Amino acid sequence: MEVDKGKGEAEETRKVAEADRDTVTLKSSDGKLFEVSKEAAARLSTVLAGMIAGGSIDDNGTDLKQIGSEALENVVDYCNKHANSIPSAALISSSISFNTAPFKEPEEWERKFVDRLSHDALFDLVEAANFLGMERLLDVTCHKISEMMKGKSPDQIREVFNIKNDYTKEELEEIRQELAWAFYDD
Amino acid sequence: MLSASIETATAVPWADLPAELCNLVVDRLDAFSALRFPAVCRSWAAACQVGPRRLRPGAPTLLTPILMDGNGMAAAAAFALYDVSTGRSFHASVSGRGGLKNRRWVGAKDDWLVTTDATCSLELLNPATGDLVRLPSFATIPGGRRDCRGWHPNLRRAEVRLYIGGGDGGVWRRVDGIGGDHALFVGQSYPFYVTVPRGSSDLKANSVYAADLNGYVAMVFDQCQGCAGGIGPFVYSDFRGTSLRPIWFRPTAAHLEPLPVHQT
Repeated sequence: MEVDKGKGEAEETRKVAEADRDTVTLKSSDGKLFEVSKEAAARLSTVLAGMIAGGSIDDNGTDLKQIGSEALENVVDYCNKHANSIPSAALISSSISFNTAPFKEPEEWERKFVDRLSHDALFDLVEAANFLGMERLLDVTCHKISEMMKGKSPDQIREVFNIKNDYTKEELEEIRQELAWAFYDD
Repeated sequence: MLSASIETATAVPWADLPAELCNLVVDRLDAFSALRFPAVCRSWAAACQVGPRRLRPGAPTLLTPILMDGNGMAAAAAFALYDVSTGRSFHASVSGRGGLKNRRWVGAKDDWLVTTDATCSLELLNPATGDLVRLPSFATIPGGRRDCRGWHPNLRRAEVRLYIGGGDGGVWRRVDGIGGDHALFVGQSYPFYVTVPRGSSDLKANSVYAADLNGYVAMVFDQCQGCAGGIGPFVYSDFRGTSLRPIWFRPTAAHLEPLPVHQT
């Protein structure tokens, strides 16, 4: 009884400590652990916010089976950098607002953050951001991907992203005719 | 084990990018790049089936400037294309050498814009590809008016003289005609007919769409018999009132044929 009671108290103390902690531990698909500020995680990811609010955060590492360690490291890195950055004027007032592009331009540090990524890392990061419901990181990564294909012909885009052309010759000719004016000469 | 080429030749399946992410990317592309996106591979094309977010090839649009300087020249290479039949607005900018910066457009034909600057230097510009063809200055037209603002036909004169110009540093040369089955439209903006698909809910058949009436409002005149029954202005939000007027623009892949040169 004594022992049981003591264990119960310890459990209680640990739970309080867990609630008081200001970081959460995330575990990648390959078992690596990462710590991230609870405030930043809850603010930047709707999925993590839901898990924190719902108490389904595991002190020993919350399993994120869909996310590899490299992508998770980038996610955590982004959260930490975001927590430390002061929003600039550029973030608040976008220079031109287009009907089709009501998106806030990435900040300078966000540009640098995605610019240093390999194409593979960028792909994994955009999927991780999507999985975790990180709207701002999705903005930044999708902006980067769109930058990589602007002004390029379909052939050039395939080359950049290592995509196999799976259209038949006839289909390609049809597309070409429909969009001839919009295509660069390959 | 990993060689440098691994970095450049990506190993992840970009073709399998989930449809919702494809659409987030397309939303961030300019109108022309968005058109090319589905042509990359089948799965990207399938992703774009959900929701028509792109400009439709051959659709009549109003080309409007987005940023202007004090002299009414385009201050940036960016412009907006307003699809009048769907009410959607798209943005784009001229690729490459910024062919619209500090220039104004004075006409359009198929996929080409005619632009001029303060020194009357004329250029043909393809806004989609950034291709540029320099034309002789208006100032070299024999007896021509040195007005860089474009074409002002004087319809009281009985004779119409036609000139063509071409080639870097070339001159304008008078031509005898415009070819057997052609008709020439002149005016502030480039007018054209479109065939309205049967049952179209977007475009109205037997109607006239007019841009630039009374304070930059565009109108559609229904059942055009004398064009009395205007059915009201349609709103295009991109235009910030300036002296550079919106112009009808319909990019197609029409072929330009040479015209017979006038023998003197």
